[in-house]
Amino acid sequence: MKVKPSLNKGLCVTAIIASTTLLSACNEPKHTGIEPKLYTDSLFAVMKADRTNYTKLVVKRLGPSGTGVVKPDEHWQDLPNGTLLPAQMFRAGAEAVAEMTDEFSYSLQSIWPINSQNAPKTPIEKQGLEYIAENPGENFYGEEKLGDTTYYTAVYPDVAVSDACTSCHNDHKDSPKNNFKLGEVMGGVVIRVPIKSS
Amino acid sequence: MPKSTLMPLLLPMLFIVIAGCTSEQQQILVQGEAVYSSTCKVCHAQGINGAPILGNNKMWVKRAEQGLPVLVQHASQGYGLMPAKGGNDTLSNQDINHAVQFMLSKLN
Repeated sequence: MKVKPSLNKGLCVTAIIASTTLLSACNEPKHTGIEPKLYTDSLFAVMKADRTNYTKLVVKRLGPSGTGVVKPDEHWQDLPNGTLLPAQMFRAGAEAVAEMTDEFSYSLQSIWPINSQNAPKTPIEKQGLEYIAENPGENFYGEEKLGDTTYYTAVYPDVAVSDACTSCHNDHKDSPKNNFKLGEVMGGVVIRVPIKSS
Repeated sequence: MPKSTLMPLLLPMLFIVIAGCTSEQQQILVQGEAVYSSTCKVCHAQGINGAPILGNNKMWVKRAEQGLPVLVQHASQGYGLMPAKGGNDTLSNQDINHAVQFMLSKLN
């Protein structure tokens, strides 16, 4: 077949562009999404900010140490002016998110749970909760495969920040530990994000 | 005594005084870090309950402006959601002072 010179030149240019594009694509990172650690750290920042604000602006301001308008109580539903304890409010948020999406999940767990449903369920959760209890102020990050999906699982400390936390847990009939002290890690926030499906 | 004779004597003395101050300050920071690690870190590493995070300039700048005595007083007596002495009654005011100085030293 006889190719016209102008067509021949055009084919060459196309080939060069195509090969350049292919070669440059080889050097590009495979994915440019947010790093899982940054993602879970950011989620935790929002969670702890909301929890702090609820504690400060509602429970402390309107509760017994403030105006006394509301009564924060474990059995808040039984009281006309009852309101959730900060940990219960946090858990309510986790439940609402679970109804909304499977893109991530979070929960408040402990190796000394009052409610056994809040005990760790996977080896990574248990390992993470033990790690943060032994290393106050530090987080735990790991990966685990559940079913066909690999998850990035981060565990952040949940600390006894007031006498209300320690007395409630220490005096509770279902609590497996009754010598919590102020400033001690009582449990952890477990955030789980799917990163790979097989 | 001529200046040329005084200077060689004064310089080493000045060096000793400066070195002494630096070493004393370092000692305070070392002691402060130990208090931080044993008591403060559990909240101040994470920002639990709004605690200003170690090394986070944005959280610390307005607090630092209040000065060391005010910060030590807040930490000792409790402030906002922070319990007195971070919940550790065994800490002395000097321990608290050193811990606050350590945390302030981490600002840029």
